[in-house]
Amino acid sequence: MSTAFLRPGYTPPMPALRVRLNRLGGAAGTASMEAIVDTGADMTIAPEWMLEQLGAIKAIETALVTQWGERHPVTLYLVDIEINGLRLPGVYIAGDENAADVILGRNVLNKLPLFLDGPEEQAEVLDKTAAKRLRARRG
Amino acid sequence: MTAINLPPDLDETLRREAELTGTTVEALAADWLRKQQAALHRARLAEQTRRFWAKHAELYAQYPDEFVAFYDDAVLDHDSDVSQLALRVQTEYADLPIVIAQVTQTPVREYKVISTRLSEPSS
Repeated sequence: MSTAFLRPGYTPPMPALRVRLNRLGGAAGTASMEAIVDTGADMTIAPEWMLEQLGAIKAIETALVTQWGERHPVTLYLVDIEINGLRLPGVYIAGDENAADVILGRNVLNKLPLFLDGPEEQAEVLDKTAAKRLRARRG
Repeated sequence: MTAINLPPDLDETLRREAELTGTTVEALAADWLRKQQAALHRARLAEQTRRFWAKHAELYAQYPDEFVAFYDDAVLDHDSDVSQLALRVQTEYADLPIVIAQVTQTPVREYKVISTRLSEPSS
């Protein structure tokens, strides 16, 4: 299953995947929503109110730093994430009071075989067979 | 439910602010208390985080690459599975500001977000 890149508000179009954030152990979860794919972010980020409403466990205080050195203090929460039906348990997410969207950073993206089809504006988590075939091509 | 008596100045402030924002005194007081509680918890977790980093080398020697639940300079619990650890900590310690973190060889104290977006030049 692929997800269309986001267009309104994004030029060029932004790769996205459908996600659901769940409380640890899967007791409660958010609605399914589009999350931005951002390979430039170390950490996944979500609106803080969303994580609070979910009852996500607060784990540690840290900071997000921009390339210009601006430092933004945030709390890391622990959640389970569902991406295109694939469940990733015990994932750290930064709660940002200014964020409007969920942003998937490399702490999540590096666990996935991703196919970003730029010309077709589709993002997809590859199934095992497709990922294996592409890995074999590398020799 | 708990009924509390406020000093007259606070009572007046609350009533005026509720009127100004078109809400009830009860709803406004609950909102302010929730925000204060969240800020307090955050400050306490930040203090525990500072203590965690101060002890990091010692913790790594004892719990290399494990996840620990850390509070007041002590490890309350540890596990290789962060979900199991966090669920136990939540059950046993409820609202205590406990750090739940992996003790890695190279400490990661902050995270980079280097993505930038195009924007209209500001006038």
